Amino acid sequence: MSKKTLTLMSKDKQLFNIEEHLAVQSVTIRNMVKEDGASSVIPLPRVDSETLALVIEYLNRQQAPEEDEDYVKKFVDERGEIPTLLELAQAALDLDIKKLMDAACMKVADLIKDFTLEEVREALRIENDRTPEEEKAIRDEFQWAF
Amino acid sequence: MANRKKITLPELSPEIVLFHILPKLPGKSLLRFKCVCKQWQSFLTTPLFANIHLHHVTNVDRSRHEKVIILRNRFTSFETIDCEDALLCYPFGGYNLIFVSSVTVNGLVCLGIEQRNTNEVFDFDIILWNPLTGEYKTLPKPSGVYQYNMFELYYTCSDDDYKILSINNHGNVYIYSLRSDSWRMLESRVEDHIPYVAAGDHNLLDGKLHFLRDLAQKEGESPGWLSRTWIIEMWRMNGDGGWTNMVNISYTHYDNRIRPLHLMRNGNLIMRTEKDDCSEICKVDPQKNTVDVLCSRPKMDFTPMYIETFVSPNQYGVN
Repeated sequence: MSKKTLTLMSKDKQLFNIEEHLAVQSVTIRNMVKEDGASSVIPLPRVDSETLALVIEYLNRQQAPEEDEDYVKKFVDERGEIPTLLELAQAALDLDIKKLMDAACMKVADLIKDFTLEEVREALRIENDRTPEEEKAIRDEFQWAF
Repeated sequence: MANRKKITLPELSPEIVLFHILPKLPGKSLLRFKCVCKQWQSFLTTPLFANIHLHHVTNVDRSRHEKVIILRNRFTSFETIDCEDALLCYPFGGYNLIFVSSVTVNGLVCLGIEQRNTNEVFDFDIILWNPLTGEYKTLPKPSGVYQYNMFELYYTCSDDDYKILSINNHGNVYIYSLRSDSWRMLESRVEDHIPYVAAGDHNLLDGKLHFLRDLAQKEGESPGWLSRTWIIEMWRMNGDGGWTNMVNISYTHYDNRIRPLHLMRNGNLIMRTEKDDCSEICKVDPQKNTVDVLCSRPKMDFTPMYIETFVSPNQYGVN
């Protein structure tokens, strides 16, 4: 009996094949398959090919359920760069793969928890819209945390 | 310029950052990160965020967030010890403490604070306090209850309410509800159910208050430091007043002055010991057989376990 294969297309138009029973760990893909049978290519216009390759590597894992938790942690640990983790988290959110998204976000949180304010803004692409006075008011209120 | 592409990517949604990354950060980092931008500051003070963060620290990741909070009555200061890093922090100071409930609930602590009025007459306030955010609420006091009575904070899921149970020296039970911001007295007295309950011999397990009753004490034996047999009954207080006998234990114990506080994920133990006139919080490494004293204080009075949350004591808006 041959296993059914799906084709996913990244933002930069690269094609990836994956067995359907593995792909439907993504709730988003599962719903698409249910709706229209998904015989053709599934476009993922927000996910670039580098990130999609990672997601597919994760979906293809062959892990016993009891080892899965450790595997997800290790999987994100090995990709410890914040930009990669953020994109992985975003793709996992869009594709609704909860475990992967939680693990990637947990890793980001661990990495940034001791960052300076400027480092946090840079890592998460946030613009500083605080005046120095506003910042000082918070510093004064929660002095012990700084 | 290799990173340029990543930095300018427009696809990172606020949802990822606000709902999935921020709630996983420690409380201390979050206080600092209020400075990052206006959106973060306003989001971090919403009840929605308090709930998401609370869910994470209580259901997903509790052991990483557990702390010992050290509250001393004569030294007017508060300290916390982070159980996983075994580090000491000094966040607060400036109150004169009378009592504190032995349990903290969802990051809230119930305190009794000394209040001296102009006539130098001793009085006290009951405070519900979030040590992380510094937010507090002064609660009304029931008549017939004094500062040396027992005050215990707990939470009831069924009506999403924080409650305080107080038992006075006549065995009358009073229950405070944060939602209604009022006290009521129960019809049945606690001594009808569990006589000889001693303050300190109770704990919050699975969200319900459990009391220990020492039968040996009832039979007139003096509780000394030497080995003796303890006969213990554990009673659970159900919701608002019913009692169930849960466990009966009989065991021989040498010293009741060591108390485990937290089992670290690396197998080490945080515990409290008493030595003559001082209390110590220690980290014990069973593998290396070493004991590190994290802090030693002249008689610590209260060291409840504590987690940092953003839960507001003023969330129900009643004044």
